[in-house]
Parts: sequence; structure tokens; C-alpha cells
Amino acid sequence: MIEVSGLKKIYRLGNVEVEALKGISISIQRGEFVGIMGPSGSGKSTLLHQMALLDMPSAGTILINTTDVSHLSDEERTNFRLMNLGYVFQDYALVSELNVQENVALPAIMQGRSLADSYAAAASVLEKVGPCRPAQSPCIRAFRWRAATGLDRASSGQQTVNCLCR
Amino acid sequence: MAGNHDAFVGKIEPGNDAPAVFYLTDITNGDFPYTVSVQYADDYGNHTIRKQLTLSVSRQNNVLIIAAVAALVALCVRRHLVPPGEKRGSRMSSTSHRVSIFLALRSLERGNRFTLGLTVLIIGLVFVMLVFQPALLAGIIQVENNQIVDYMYGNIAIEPKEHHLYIEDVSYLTEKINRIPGVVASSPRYVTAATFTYHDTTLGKTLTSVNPSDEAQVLTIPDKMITGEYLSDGDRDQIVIGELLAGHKDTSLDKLKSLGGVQVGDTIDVTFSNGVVRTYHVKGIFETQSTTVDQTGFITTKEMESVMGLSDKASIVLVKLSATGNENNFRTTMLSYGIQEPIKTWSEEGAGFVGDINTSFSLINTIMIVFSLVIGAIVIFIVIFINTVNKRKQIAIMKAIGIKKEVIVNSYLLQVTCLCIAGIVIGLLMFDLIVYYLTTHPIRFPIGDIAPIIEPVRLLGSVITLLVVSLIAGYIPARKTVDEEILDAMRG
Repeated sequence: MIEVSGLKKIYRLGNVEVEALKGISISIQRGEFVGIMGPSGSGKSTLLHQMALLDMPSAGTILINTTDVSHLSDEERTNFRLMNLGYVFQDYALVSELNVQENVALPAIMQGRSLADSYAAAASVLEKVGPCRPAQSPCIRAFRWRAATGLDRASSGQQTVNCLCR
Repeated sequence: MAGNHDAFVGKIEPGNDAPAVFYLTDITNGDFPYTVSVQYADDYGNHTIRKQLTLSVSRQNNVLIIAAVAALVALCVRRHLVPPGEKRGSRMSSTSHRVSIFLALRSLERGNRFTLGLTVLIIGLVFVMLVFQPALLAGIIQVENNQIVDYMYGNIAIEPKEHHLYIEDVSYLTEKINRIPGVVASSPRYVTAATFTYHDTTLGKTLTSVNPSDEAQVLTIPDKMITGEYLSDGDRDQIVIGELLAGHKDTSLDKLKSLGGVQVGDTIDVTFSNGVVRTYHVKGIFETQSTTVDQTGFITTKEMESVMGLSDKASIVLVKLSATGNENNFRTTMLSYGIQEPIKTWSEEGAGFVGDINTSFSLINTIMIVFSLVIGAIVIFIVIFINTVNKRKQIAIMKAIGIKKEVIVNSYLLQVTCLCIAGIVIGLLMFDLIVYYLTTHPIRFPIGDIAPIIEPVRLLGSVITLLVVSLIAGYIPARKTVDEEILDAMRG
């Protein structure tokens, strides 16, 4: 459950203050799928950045599963993101020095799981959401090959899938 | 308390003093009361003085200091490596280290191989620059030290007492010295200023007289004859001179002003400090490559005594020990045997000589070391700076998905450590090759053939210094980039 109330975000550009969010309040229940729509510059990304703990709001509170994340320290925010949130950025945002499987496994490794466990979990997730159904073994083999290779060989769609897996 | 409880001081002249040396072993810390008894005889008879004294013993324990420093360093490293908020030994702490290592290895494995190789090579060259100059200086100092021991002072030199021109009763003194276990031989010398004249050339230099058979056991000048022979005990009208003093007929070949090409068999006139002029046949010419020694001449003590009117005296007594390196302790032994004259080790005698070289080279050394470290630091800084700037977005992504800042910084520090260690290994190999080449093909210096000497402690110091400087140079750009706001870094 996500509860946002009176959320404000003010950017300062020199002496000029730009109010990107003017006291937004929303409530998203467990299991709900929510889409945010609006014209360009209306503050969609800004709202998501605050809710995703990537930015600090100027005012207001954000409750995620009863935790007031708007008052967490930098260290606590990092830990909260690691343990509770997942991200799919517009431009795939993967670590280029890690291959597909390693990118998916990275948060699990950071959570304290063993390397083998993390790789196995990553492989399992990748197979589930892969471009082919698990039953299609030739495709799975091809996907496994991709999982062990660099991101430069993964297509745009594949990279989006990777972000979802992560 | 184990050790010797008696010490013999010997004869003391009025107004002089002499140490009584006691060896005490197996002493624990604490205050120990004891009675000292001094027995002496003078013109008025035998006397005994007794006095109650206290011996205070406190042991210096360097191990504790080293352990404390090591613990402090370990604490500092630990404080940095364990991110704040994590308990030491917790699962998250080991996880953070694991992720740092994972990211560092992947980055090294999949990074640009050319940049990697070039960085390692530059660090290797910096390391060579750091260690080569001090190694060369060590080589020069060793040659100097060998020259001091072999050609100038032996291991220990005994000098006249304060305000005395000569050591008196020198035959008694040398007998006493030669009885001390560990003494190979002793050689008394007269040293005086003299004027050497050959044809129309006159030079003022040092003339030394020796007992040739004693001298041959203490110094190795007799083995350094390039023409002719060294003196024999019975020689009276013979002289041996150094190669620099003899010189060349073609004066352009001379390193210093010389007599202009004296040959074995030639005669030279020597004017002594008391005005006596004697003509000597040149029996031999020696070359030690020591500038000081190669400008001097040697005659026999008997000849010097006849000219100067001296008897059983010496300006200095040189002592050869069975082993070099323990002279300071041996001085104490000599004191306990009742040697009352000032005793100097070869390193004290040559301190001024080697000290000048040390002073000159240490400045050059310092400049070279600072420059090398600055170059190394700049290279590491640039490499890590470019690396982190190019990966700003990736670093931001990692932070966004929950990778801690310290984990990312540590992954860069691990990369720097790997690069640095690889560079140091390459540098050590290059340095070894250089040392091997220069050992087989030594550099010809005016003081002799010089080869660099590897000093393990200095080498270790250079490794640690380069590693520390590299880590600092890598930490600054990594920390700067990691501290950037996530969204700012992602937007580029």
C-alpha cells in the first residue's frame, strides 16, 4: 500500500523557484495497477521519482507499507530501495559491465544471497519472462546463451525484460 | 644476575677517566640495589672505595609499539571498509565486501584492456623510478663503506687522547689489542703532511708510514698494486704512491693534479713537515679507486721514525676484526680490555665522507620520489576519474537499485589496488632486470664500479607508499562521483 499526502517538490533554478508538485495526495492499494497520465511537464516523472525514493520531496509524506519513507536517512533509503522496490527506467538502465544474468542477480547478491543462489534465481526469472515459453527448449537454450553474454547483444525488448527481471 | 662482576680499567693518567664495563644478562624490569667496589693503586699505596648504588632497568618493547600501530592502521581500514550503520562481522558487512569484489572483478575483466595495460605499465615505471635512485645510492654508499674499511680505517681506529698528537707506547697497545678475541690484526700508522717533488712538479699531500707486514693484515692496499710491489718491513729508501699522485705524462688524462707520470723505479723527493728532504725510489704504484687514498704515499715506519725522530708512537692504530658490522659492540669489548684511547668505528671515521654523499643524494632522491609519486597519483586519478565520469549513469543506476555508496567506492578502490599490485609486480620485474644488468655491467663512477643494491625494507616502503598514494588518488574521484545525486547523474 502506498499513501502519498501533500507531496510538494520545488526546484530552485538560481533565484527562481519552480513548483513541480503542488501538494499531491494519492492512495494506491495492494494489487492495484496504476497509470499516471498528463501533459508534458505536469510532474509525472517527478512524482514517480519521489515515490521511488530517487529524490527527496520538499514537503509532504510518503507511506509505503506503513513506513514513512520521506524521513529516512540516505543509508536507510538505499536499503529500502534494495529490499522493497524495483525499477524499469525509460532507457533500460542496466550495468554495461555485467551480463544479462549478472544484472538480474545483482540486487539479490546485495541482499546477502549467495552468488550461486542469486544466479539460479536470476536464471529462473529470466526463463519465466523470456521471449519464449519454457516449453520451447531451443528458444530457452538461445536465451540462456544470451544471459551469459554481454548486454550489447541484447535487443531493446530484451533489455526491458531484463529490467523487469531485476 | 648473570654477567661479569669485575672490570679492569688499567692505567689512568692524572685528570683522565676511563669506563669500567659490565655485561649483565637475564635482567628483569625493576630497581636493584648493589655495591660497587673500586680498587686502585697510586703513589700513596692501595685503596678501596665502596659505594651503595641502585640499578634501574626498564625494557623497551618495540613489539608493543608495532602492534599498536598495526592495530590503529587495521582500525582505520576497517572503519572505512565497513559502511556506517553496519555492525562489524554482520552478514551485510561481508555482503558489501562480496559485492565490491564482484563489481571490481567484472569491471577489470570487461573493461578496456588497452587502458588497463597502459595504466599497469605506467605504475610499473613509477615504481622503478621510486626504487632505482635509492638503490643506486645504496650501491654508492656500499662502495664508499668498503673503501673506508678496506683502504682507509679497517674496522676500528684508535686515535690519540685529547690534546695528544700521538698515541704513546704503541707497541704495548697493539699487543693488548691483538690479544682481544675477534681482532685479526692491528696496524699503527704515522700520518704527516709532506711535499712530493718529481722533476719540476711539486705537490703537497699526505704521507703515511706503516709496518708493511701489519698493514697487509689490516688493509688491502698491498693487493691493489698496478705496477711494482708493496713495501717490505726492511725498506728504507722506498716509497709506494697512489695512482692519482703518480699521474700521467699527458696531464689531460689526470683526474686531479699529479706529479706528471711517475713510473716504478723513478726517484721522488719528499720534504717532511720538519724540513727534512729525502729521496725515495718508487717501489710500486697502487690504485684503490678511493680518491683520498690514491693521492697519498707510503713509507715504512722505521724510515719515518728516523726522519721525524719518533719512537714507539703512532698517529692512529687501525684494527681489523674477524667480522664487519659489530663494531659498536666491539668498542665496548675493547673498553673492557682497558683500551683508554678514543675508539672510533669505521662508520664514525667515514661519517663526514659518506655523509656528504648522503646529503647530496638524499635531496635528489626526495625530488625523484615526490615527482614519481605525483605522476603515479595523477595517472591513477585520471584513470579512475575518466572511468567514473563515463560510468556516472551506471553508478546512479546501481545506487538506485540499492547498492550502497561504500560498496561502489570500495569496488573502485579494489580496482586501484589490483592495478597497483600488477604495476608493482611489473615494476619489480623491470627493476630486477635493471639490477641484473647493472650488476653484470656496473656503472663506472670516479669512486669505483657501482651497482644498485636492493634493500628489502626500502622496497617494502616504496610498495606501501605507492599503494597508499594510489588509493587516495582513486578514492577522490570515485567518492566525488558516487556522492552525486542519483537523478542528476542519470540525466548526464
